[in-house]
Amino acid sequence: MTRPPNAPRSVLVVAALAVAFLTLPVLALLQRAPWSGLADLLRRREVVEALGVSLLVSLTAAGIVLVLGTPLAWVLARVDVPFRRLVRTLVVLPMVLPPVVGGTALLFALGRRGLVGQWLERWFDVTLPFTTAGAVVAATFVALPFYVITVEGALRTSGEDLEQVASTLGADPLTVLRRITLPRLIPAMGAGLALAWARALGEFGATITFAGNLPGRTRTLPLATFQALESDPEAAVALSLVLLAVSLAVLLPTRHRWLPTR
Amino acid sequence: MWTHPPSGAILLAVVASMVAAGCTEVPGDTALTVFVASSLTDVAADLTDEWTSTSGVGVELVVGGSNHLAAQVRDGAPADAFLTADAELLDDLQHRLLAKPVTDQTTDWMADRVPTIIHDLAINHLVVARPTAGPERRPADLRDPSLVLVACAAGVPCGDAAAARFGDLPIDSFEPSARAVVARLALDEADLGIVYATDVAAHTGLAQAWPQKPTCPCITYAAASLSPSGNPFVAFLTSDRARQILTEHGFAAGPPR
Amino acid sequence: MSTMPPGPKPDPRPDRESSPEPVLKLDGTATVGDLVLRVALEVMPGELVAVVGPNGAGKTTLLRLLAGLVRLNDGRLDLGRRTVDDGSDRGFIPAHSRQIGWVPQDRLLFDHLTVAANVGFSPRSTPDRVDSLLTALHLQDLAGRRPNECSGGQAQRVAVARALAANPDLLLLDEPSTALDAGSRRRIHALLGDRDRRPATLLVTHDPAEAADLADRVLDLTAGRIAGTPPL
Repeated sequence: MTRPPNAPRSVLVVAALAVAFLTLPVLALLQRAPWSGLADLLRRREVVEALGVSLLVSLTAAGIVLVLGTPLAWVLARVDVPFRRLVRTLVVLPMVLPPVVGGTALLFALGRRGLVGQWLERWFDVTLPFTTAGAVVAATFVALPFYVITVEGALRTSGEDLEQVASTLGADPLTVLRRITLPRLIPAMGAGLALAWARALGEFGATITFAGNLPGRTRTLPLATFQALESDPEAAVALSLVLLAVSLAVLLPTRHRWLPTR
Repeated sequence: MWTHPPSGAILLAVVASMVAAGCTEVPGDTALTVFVASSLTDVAADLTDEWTSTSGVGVELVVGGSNHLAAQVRDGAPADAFLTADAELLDDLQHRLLAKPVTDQTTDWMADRVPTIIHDLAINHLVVARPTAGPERRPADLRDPSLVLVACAAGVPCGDAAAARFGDLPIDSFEPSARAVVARLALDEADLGIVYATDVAAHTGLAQAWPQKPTCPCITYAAASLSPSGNPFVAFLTSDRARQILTEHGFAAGPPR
Repeated sequence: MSTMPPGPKPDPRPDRESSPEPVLKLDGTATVGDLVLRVALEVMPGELVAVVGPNGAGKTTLLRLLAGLVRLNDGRLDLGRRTVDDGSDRGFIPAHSRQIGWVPQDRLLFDHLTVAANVGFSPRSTPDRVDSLLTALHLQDLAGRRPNECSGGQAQRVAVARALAANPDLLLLDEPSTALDAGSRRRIHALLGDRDRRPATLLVTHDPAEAADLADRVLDLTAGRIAGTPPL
């Protein structure tokens, strides 16, 4: 193999090590997979159930992230709100919070006896813990910052020049948003959404702490994998493979939307 | 007795047990690492304090769900002793134990290389609990779908025992450890929960859902040493003083040895 | 011969002395960073005023001020009979409500839209205006293409067409001919040279020949002030 002339050997070596570090666990997983009994394992009710819950929860969370996150990203990038830096820090907080702590905080806020949760129960008879909706809340909580950061970054980078020209041509702010800002934002929105969805799919700590663990309702693939790991390692591997397959199935075909293209 | 830790602290204990990383640092020349099932958290602290004050050896406690810890030991975690609510787990760990259990052929110089295994270390009963702040319940409420019921997951000793005793129940969440169930009740996020009698005794936020007598199927704890340095500690667990501490915490102590 | 589509006609008032009103009346101060712009200026309908001066003098800032992208600290800016900026929040009319057309130095075409969509972007444009401008600037063949497929000269013509299609009372051009091929420059000049039909225009340029060719007046802007204006 001829080394590219502008690539120092040391850099290539380190990069190769990084690739090995990232791919080794996945390869080990594939190596341990019970390929012969896999079909039966995958047909098991608990696997199918967990897959269904995971897809429902992660896709719903992605939808909410899109609806809530886009206006927020736009405001953070374009509007001079008071305490903008503080707001931005708060928005990023779920990213740095350990997920279990996040789930605990959600419990204190939206649980049956929570700050807001108690009113949800008293006035609307709505409880979130132990429901699929609660799992969606937990997933949205951890995934939203990823989307907002991505889209806000894109908005800051692309600048307001084109939007200014559009307004001098007579387009009011909403028209500018609709015809200039959003169409140009689509790639970044796609990237942010892919990231957020993947995060929501893999969420464990916040889900199990806030929404609990019930097959068919709140037991997502990560929860099922964790439980299986202790009693039935083969099933755990099967569940991990399902997670891997689902992620690849969604992220690979859409990569032109979210990977920087040449 | 250490009672009524604030609910936030309970949740932090749940966090710790979920990652099996809670530890108590005690100064000593060579500290032991002891894995304990999470339902033994409170009593283990007192037991290890007593052990350290008499032997001078410190103990680092690692708390978690029994089968979670067993999985770690199986994968080679450096534990000196293992206290578990599921004696069957010890069978799986035979390869980690140094030799077969004690036989008549044991001689003195081999004594410390032979692992100490104790079955029937202590007994804990299952109890249906409620938040103290909640209303008194009746046995029929266990099957009431409108009430929030939490229990341990299958594979966790308290979960298996609950299933053996009550059969199929409308459970709303299968928690990874008894401590997690306690946390739910302590926060009043659940109406009913199947926990250990020791949890109800230790926590003023929990109460028996209705007056219950100790019943089996119940939990029997076992202890095993996993290295020579663990032997003295496990032997200590059968002493009178240890049995006294166990009883104080609400366990039924095993037979004297 | 290229034809400019009819621009806004001055309002005929038979019962008044027909003295046309200025399209633009500015007398005020604006601060952007270190630059303090202090300008008093009037432009009549159909008049083309060239603005020359060294870099950093504030020529682009002046255009942005008129466009509504920079605000006055104090003073007054009237477009037609309307006061669009008096230094206060309440008296400020934003860019999209002013009848202006702005061709920035960087052109800033919308690359996700076709040339035709760019030219016709303004809500104030009409299909007829768009068509005649595309013809006047020889852009018909490019109508379905994207801006990134156009050459520099073509893109500049698109930008000018886009601004004119918006039917502006005031046209603001920021160095439209810099680095332009002769053919494009000729077409744009032909359009701008049509005194009867062009809107009031401010043309920032570095080219004295261009200023001499097209302008009715030349303003020399240095350090935020027009030459000859006494300091504050």
